[in-house]
Amino acid sequence: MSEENAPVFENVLEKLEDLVQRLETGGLSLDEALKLYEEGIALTRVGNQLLEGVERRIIELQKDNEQTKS
Amino acid sequence: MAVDSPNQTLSVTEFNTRVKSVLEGTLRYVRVEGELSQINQHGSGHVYLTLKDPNSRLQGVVWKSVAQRLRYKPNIGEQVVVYGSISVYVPHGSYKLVINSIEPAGLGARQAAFEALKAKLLKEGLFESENKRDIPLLPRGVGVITSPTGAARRDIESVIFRRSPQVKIVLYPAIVQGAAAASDLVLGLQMMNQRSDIDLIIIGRGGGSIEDLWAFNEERVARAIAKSTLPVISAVGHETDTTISDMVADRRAPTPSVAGEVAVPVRDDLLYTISLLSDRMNRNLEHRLERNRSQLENYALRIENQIDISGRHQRFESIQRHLDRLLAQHIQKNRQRLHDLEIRVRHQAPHVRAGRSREALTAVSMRLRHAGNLSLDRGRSDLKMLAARLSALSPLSVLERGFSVARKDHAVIRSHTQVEVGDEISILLHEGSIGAKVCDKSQDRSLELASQEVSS
Repeated sequence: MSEENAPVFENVLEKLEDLVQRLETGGLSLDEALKLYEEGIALTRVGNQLLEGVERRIIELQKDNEQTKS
Repeated sequence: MAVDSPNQTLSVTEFNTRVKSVLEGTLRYVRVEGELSQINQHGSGHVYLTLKDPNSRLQGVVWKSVAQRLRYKPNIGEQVVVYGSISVYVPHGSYKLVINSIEPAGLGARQAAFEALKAKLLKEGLFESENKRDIPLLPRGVGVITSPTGAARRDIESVIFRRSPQVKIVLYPAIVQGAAAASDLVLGLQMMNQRSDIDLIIIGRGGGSIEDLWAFNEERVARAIAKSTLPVISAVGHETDTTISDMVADRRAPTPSVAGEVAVPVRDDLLYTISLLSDRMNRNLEHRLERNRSQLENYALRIENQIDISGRHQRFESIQRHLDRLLAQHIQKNRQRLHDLEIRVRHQAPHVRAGRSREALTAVSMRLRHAGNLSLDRGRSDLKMLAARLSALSPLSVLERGFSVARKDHAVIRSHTQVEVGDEISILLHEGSIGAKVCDKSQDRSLELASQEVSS
């Protein structure tokens, strides 16, 4: 249930890698190359965004159950 | 045992002595199971302990000689089975169980249950690697199901923060041992699976006895782990402990710290990977643009050259055409004049009648003079032109352009073979002349380039 809302990092990295390889293999028109490049820049940005933030976030769940016995 | 007689009164000692003989006569070599609630290691080497169950407690003692031989060292909280006989202490009117051996309770039964469950789940395919979910490379959040006060929690949290500080941690404060543990762990797994902010679950606890870890061997927990939509990392106890949870989970971590390492990558590594890829991409595009740019420049240069050359060609051709036209006109003009003169000369020829009148002669001579003047004028301008052309060919005009004529004994020197080193020569310049001495000679023609330019 968590997959569809956010981009998964693996996919971002995989796409980026694939794209760079296509750029490096060559045989693309300048138009195509520029399009791939733009896409790559966008992916880079998304990847970096996924790695952003440094605050330690801990959420401790509350059990609304009665049985809390130790 | 009945009291001897209703009227008989016993002293305390007598009573306790009787209790002693009654109890010790019947409660010999018994097995008692209970939870160890107290252990006192006495200085004398004897071990005093308390066994309990929900409703009652029992004091026991392990004499020094027995304690030294025990293979299993019991801990507080553990369920044990002790074997021994009752002993009544008359002075206090109290009794204790004198223990000869201790073993963990249900050891045999639990081992059997463990093996049975393992076999059952194995048969159902719950341990199969194809049923295991992948651990995501970078979870946005990690659900941790463990004791809120245990060392396991601290280990997991600190490892995750060290490696990937941006990852959120959601903690389910779980009961990890005892009767309530299994159902609490199941509840934790269910709650985690309802969240949308985590991509992974770690379930586990620190080390302990087999009994402590038992909840992780229960079928309910195993099934809840198998049913989890989110991938589960199991980290129960130490490396040597393997529970059913470990086997069902998508990944088993030998310790809670390792679970943290498996759960999240080192963020800096990923940032580095991204920057490497983006560098490669940039470099590639820059190269490409640079290549295209130089290609364009190259084309531009070639086009420019093309224009330039054709321009010169055209100019050159038009000059040539102009010159040809001038030459043709000139020739035509001269031819015409020659023709006119010829006609006129014929009129003056001796066979023409000599007896022409003087007027006629004068008229003719006037005409002749006029014609002469005309032709003189024409000739003058023609001469000018020819002189100009001539002067272009004249050695003197060449001198004007910086050339000079070298002569030896008034003969023009055309070849290095005409002179010897040391000869005195004179050089004619545009203005004046100079005497010179040959100090070197060679076959090289350094003027070749210049002469080529002139000829083209």
